[in-house]
Amino acid sequence: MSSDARQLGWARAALGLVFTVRHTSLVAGLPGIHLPPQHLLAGWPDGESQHRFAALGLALPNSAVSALCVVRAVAGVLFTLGVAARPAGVVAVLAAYLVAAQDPIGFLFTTHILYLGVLVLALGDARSFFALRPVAPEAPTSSAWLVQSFVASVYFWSAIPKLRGPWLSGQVLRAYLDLGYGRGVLGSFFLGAHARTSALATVALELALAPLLLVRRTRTAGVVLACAMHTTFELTVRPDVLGWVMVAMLLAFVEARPRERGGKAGP
Amino acid sequence: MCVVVPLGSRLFGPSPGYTMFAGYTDFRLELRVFDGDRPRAVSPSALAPHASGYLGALLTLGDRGGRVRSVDALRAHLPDVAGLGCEVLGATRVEVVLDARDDDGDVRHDSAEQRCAP
Repeated sequence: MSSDARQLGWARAALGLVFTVRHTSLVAGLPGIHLPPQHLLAGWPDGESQHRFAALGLALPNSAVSALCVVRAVAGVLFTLGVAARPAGVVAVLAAYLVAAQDPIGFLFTTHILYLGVLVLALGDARSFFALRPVAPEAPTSSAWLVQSFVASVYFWSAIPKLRGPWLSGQVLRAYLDLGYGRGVLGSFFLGAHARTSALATVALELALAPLLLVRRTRTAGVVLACAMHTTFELTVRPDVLGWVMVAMLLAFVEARPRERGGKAGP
Repeated sequence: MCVVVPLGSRLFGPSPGYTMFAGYTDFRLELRVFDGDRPRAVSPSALAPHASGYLGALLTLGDRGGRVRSVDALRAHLPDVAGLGCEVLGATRVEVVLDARDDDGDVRHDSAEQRCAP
């Protein structure tokens, strides 16, 4: 089993778990969840008396939305467990986008990244390791490259909208502190008194992470820095499941050492 | 996936890329209900119990308005909000006005009008 296939298998299981939990009421136990589900399954229709304005003319009847919620949940679990992981992942993402399209005003980039991550892993060779029904890998190296490029691109493209005066001056972070996003003393420290420094450090880190993660020699440093950044975010702000999503995908960078066989060498 | 999708997010936000937490918008929503030619102001929170999802939460903020990450999606659905007003408030015409000020200080004024079926 190649190291790439192992990495992808771990990332699939971890990201599938985040996907599954994010769409159930279990996620309400985490701090900072945007629109925590009001029902067991997120996006479950409220009732005929409540109006939905769907995106792109994709308005569906309540029964269809309920069915999609169930399909998304079942497919998410199968993807996590590695049972028909490719079709399960694709179906889970399609169902998730269709349910999300019923409430476009509540669209969240964090879940968008979660769905894209599941899709990238489902289409790649993430189903041959750490799976109940493993499938022989086809192109694990290029699959790992695709996932790694996607993760690096998320950091890069997260920095771009922050290259503006309001962010760089710390004004945006202070506004989020006022909105109640800061957690505890550390939140007040980083988002309040030191908002400008925190804002500059965040952009610098996000821009640096893309090359650090893509260059093999600096990859470990990139993973450590990224994990430290997400740990800081979790301790200071309330970024929905962004940290969990990114750490799950960062598993695709952790190079597994081949396990040495036990016993003595033969004669 | 790495280039086209984030560039395409310009459709949903103020810039390309993943814009979560990168900015905020202060907004205020007004609802003008016409019975005949005479307008009367109604708090958008009157529509909140009839709207699902995040729209319900935004309408609850009512004419006081509030600070949110973005109102781009709400802006696109102003005609729908006016249509909901027709259905719920039983008027002849409903007008919805959205005033938004982003973190750059740029102010934007949008409105939508819906003539209600008799």
